[in-house]
Order: sequence, then C-alpha cells, then structure tokens
Amino acid sequence: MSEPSPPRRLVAGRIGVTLLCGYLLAVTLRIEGCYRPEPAIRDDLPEAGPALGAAFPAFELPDLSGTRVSLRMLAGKSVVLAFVPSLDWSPPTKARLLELASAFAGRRDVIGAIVMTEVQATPRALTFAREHPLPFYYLVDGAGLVAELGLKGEGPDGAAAALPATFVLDPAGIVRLRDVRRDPRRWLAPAVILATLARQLAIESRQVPVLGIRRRSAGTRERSVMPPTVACA
Amino acid sequence: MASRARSLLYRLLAAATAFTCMVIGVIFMVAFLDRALFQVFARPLFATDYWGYYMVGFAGAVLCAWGGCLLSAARTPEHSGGIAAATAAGLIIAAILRLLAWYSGEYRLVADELRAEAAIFLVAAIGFVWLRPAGGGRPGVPCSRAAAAGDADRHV
Repeated sequence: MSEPSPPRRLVAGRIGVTLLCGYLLAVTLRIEGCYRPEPAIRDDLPEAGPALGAAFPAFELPDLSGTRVSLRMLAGKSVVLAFVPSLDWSPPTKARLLELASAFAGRRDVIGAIVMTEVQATPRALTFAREHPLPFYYLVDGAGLVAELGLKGEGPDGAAAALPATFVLDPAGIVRLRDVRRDPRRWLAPAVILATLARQLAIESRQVPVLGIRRRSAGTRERSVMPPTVACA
Repeated sequence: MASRARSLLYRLLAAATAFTCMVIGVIFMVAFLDRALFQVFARPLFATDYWGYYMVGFAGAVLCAWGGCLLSAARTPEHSGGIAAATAAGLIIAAILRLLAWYSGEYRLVADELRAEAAIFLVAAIGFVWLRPAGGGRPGVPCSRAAAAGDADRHV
C-alpha cells in the first residue's frame, strides 16, 4: 500500500521551515567571518601614537573606581595597552578583550590596561567590566590622551571613541609592538602579543648578570601593580 | 517500507532528543538543589548567583517535562505531530538565541560551541519537520491518513 501524500499546506509549511533552517545554518557557518582575530600586525595610521622603539608618552588616568593610574606606576613590568572604541555598542571589542584576558590569565609578569574615552564609559560598559572581572585596569580618558595620540575616532552616535589599537611596552616604557586599526571587527591575535612578550623576556634574561646574580629589573620590585577588583556603582 | 523507515527514524530522533533533554534537565535540577540545599560539590556547577540557580532549576524542570513529551512521541508517533512541531520551533528559537549570543561577543570563550550547538539544533529541527507523521496530532485522532484508514478497516 502506498503512503498517501500529505496535504499541500503541510508540505508548504515543511518547505518554509526547511528554508528558514537552511538560511540559519548558512549564517551559523558564515558568522565566524563577522569578526575575528588576525595573526598579522596592522598599522592603519602610521602617524598616530608613538612609533616602534619610542617611549610611550606619560599619562595619568583614573580607572573605573576613580583611582588614578599613571604609566610610571605601571613601569617595571611589560604593559599591554589596549585602546578600545566601546564596551557598550561594540561586540567585537568585547570579544577582543575576553580573548586577551584568556590569553593572559594567571600571568603576573604582564599588566593589561584598557583605555576608553570618557563618553564611552557608559553604564553598559561599566556593567560589562563588573560582570567580567578581567585582570586589566579600565582607564577612562578624560584628559585627551586618545586625541593626543591621534587615535580619536567616532562611535555610531558621533560621540568620541578611541580607535582600536594595541601597544606592548617593555618595562622601561618603550613601545615594542604597535597595532593600530580603523576597523574594530578585526583585532590582533593575542598569540602575536604573547610572542612579543616572550621575545622581550628572552632579551631581558640575556642581560648579563653581575657577579653571577641576575640583575633585577625594575619589575621585580615588590609593589602591588595588579589591577584592583573593578568596583563600580 | 519508506513510511516504516521514516517512522523509525522519527522515533529514534525523538528518543535521542528526549534523552538529551532529560539528562540536561536533571543536571540543572541537581545544580539548583546542590546550591540551594546540600552544597555537596566543592565548586558550584555554574558561575552564577542564587537567582541564576533558581532559573537553572526552573529550566531543568521544563527540560524534563519536554523530554517526557518527546518520550511519548517516540512511543506513539502517530499521535504526536504537535509535539514534533513544537520541538522544531523550540530548537529553531534556541539556535537563533545561540547565534545572537555569539554575535554579542560576551560568550567569546565558548564561541564555537555555540555555533556547533546551533547547527545541531537546526539539523534536528529539519528532522522533526520532515519525519513527523502527517496530520494534526490531536489526542485520540490518528495523524496519518494511513493510520486513519487502518483504524477504519479495523472497525468495519
């Protein structure tokens, strides 16, 4: 006995649902290209910010809890300075920070600092910082550091936002890696930053010890330089 | 023959989905009970607060109920067209939520798991849509015309 054919409406419904599922499957496969890390360093604005090998300009900015953090305070350890457009309206930036935090989890020889403009320190950005207690300082730039470095961009509402940029500074505050981009949807893969830091560490450890004792770099000073727990209202 | 194979596939799909729902549902309920009452596990099963565990426990109960419905669908497919349709809708919504979670950037560390889950849900939804017995699925009314015809023959 042959099976009777199902009603036409049912078949149409099935085809409709299948098309929807097919479309969503295609999105699932292609969404990865929406934003992702890149293994290559980019420099979209060569004139912005300090060049490789130059000293990073001194700054002093408040973090989210109001504590003022200066570059001098961070000196002595390698510093990863990440300028971010927003932790509010920019999903790629959130993804970038979470990847960065995962790469640096448990490392005490590196300090991470996130810099955003004052207008981008919105309640939603503060919520992100509170809900993801990452091992970074969240610095709020109200002093014009972003503009001074030439990293000033615009958010979708026209408000000032930093362009996505990453600087790795050695313990003396010299820029050892710079990556400046216009598009936040692609960011520098944390592996590249880790490789730079490893190279930096190798150079430091090659510095000849005096009388067989390895010279203590400024970074070995006993000082609390780990970022505080984010406390926001 | 094709109808029987389709029915078998449908029952397998419904049973596998029911099993998955029940296992996850039980884990969720155990997590809630552990957090709220016993605190047997050294580390909490989920990184959330007490309200989060409350919702996890609730979701666990819902998943167990859904698993029960799917089990009944696996046992009597001809009476369960509605369950298959609802399951397909639930799976599509769950897949969309996972894609949105991926896009939000906040779940970056489990990003590919979200995409894999979404893909599995969508494939399962297509399976439920095409394998489910044709018809309404009202209680006591056979869904397929073949089943209806069989019943009619029996009563003559």
